[in-house]
Amino acid sequence: MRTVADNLTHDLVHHLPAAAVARRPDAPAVTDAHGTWTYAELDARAAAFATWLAERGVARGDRVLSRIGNVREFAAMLFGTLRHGAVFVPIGAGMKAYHLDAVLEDCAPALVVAAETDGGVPPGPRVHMLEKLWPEVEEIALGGSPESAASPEVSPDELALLIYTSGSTAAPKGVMSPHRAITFAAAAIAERLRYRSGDVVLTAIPLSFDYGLYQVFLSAQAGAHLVLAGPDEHVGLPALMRAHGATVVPVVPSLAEMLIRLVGRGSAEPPAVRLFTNTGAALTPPLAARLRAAFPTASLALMYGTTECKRTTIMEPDGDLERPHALGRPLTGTRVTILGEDGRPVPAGGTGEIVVSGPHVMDGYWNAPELTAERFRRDPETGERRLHSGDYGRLDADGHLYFEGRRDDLFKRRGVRMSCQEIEAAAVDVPGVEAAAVLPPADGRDLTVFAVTGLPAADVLAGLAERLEDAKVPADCRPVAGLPLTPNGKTDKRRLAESLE
Amino acid sequence: MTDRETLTGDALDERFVELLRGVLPAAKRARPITPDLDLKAAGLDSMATIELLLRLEDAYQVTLPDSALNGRTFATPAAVWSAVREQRGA
Repeated sequence: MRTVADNLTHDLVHHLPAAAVARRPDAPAVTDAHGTWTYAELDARAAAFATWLAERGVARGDRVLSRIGNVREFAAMLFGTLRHGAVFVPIGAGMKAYHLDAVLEDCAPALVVAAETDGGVPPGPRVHMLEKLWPEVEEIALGGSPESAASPEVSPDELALLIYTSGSTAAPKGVMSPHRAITFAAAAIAERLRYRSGDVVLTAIPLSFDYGLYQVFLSAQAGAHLVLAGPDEHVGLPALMRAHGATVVPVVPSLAEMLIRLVGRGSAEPPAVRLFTNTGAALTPPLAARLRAAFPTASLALMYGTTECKRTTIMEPDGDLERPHALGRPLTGTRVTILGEDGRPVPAGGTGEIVVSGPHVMDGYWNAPELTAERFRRDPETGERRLHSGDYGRLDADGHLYFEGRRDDLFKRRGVRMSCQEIEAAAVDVPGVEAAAVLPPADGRDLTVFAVTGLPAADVLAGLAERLEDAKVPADCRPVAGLPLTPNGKTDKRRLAESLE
Repeated sequence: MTDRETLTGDALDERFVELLRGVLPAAKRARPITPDLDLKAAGLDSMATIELLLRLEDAYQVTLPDSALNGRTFATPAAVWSAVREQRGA
């Protein structure tokens, strides 16, 4: 039997493409709307970007923030930044200035790369536009100048990525991801999903989202061909999949829905996908069934995880047909423990907090020691560091995990993680809103905000749309004179929910 | 032909404007739909784009070719309408 160790050929993230670069330099590595780079071409550009960073005085450990969308330069910048010993911080197009300002202040990047088409970044001395800097990188790559001799020996314990994600806080926080945890996770995921060199991995989910980001690692590690598509290309995805022969497609429910509808409109054969994977937000069994019907050649692998340990469990392809709602078993070499209210493990079948241990557990949150201490705790018996995910669920007798919900105010909508608190904080940032309470989506209602304000509902929603990425903007706003309180003086969300019925 | 003529030239199809209005999010629906409206800024995300495509193909009994299925076609009402008209004329 293969083990994770067999797959774990590297403990530095930027070494993941090394085997493909050496053995199949002319094989396609990454394609976007503008063209394809082979593994040799990608490697040359990653080296050139590292040199370009050195020329700009970026030091080891410095943060390089990037907001450039699903383009092939992303892969070169990612591997180039890590070769240089710096930390890559990917930010998505959806983030608005309200949160972007907080992130820029939090991670204090030495250098920022933005693209005009991808939301932009406020101009500043450290902000470079991709359109302008890339010809400089190409020139360095063409010159074939050897990577600067000063290129540092990076340790696997050093940080490779800061991935900003929502928590029960007003602003997003950065998950500190070291090389060793990322390479372990990439190898452990590969052991289950078996990406291979002949695969064409269509990534239409954002690279700024860790599910999309890891497609770069999984593809590079396997020597597969990564095909990137941005939102503008979603409407043409079936044609793109046929043109490139896509075999593996990671989906969130909204993307699965889009693919099903697009494939259903024509009479052409559906693209011959071999594997769909899903995480981020669960595919419901009816949606999974429709996806299978639309793509008869494809298997489906359901997965579950959280940025704080990347991936927790993976179901073997099509295992969900026999075990509906199960999310698979923990990655090989890792453990899931279900802890009860008393902090002690619960036997199989019992519900409790999903606690994760293993080499994939990340290093905590950037600049947030208290929050880190709360989520990343020591096992009182073994001293091992464990991730208290905040998710609740149970394991069956065979070790398959089932998710049952959260007990804090974190939730997902359209695959995007968010909290009531961050939306409430954005609402009271809108001039004229005195207080706000948010109800997450539930049976029969979408995301709803109650605002204590004299403003019309549309103005509150427009103010929120200026501050939050689209998925976080409530579908409905109810202006109210005041918020009902519980006897403890907290907002009585149950009464608010009842008022909608 | 200017953007405006693209729309008015075909007697400003009310049904088209209504279809378009129907897929844009409520929060951003207040503004008038002009031929050169930036549809992305008006909230036409990927899902809404696909919804619009399906509704248009159904309403006008056309099939947009693969070459038209991209962000440029769905950038403005004028561009969308011109893609539909091209197929109706075809």
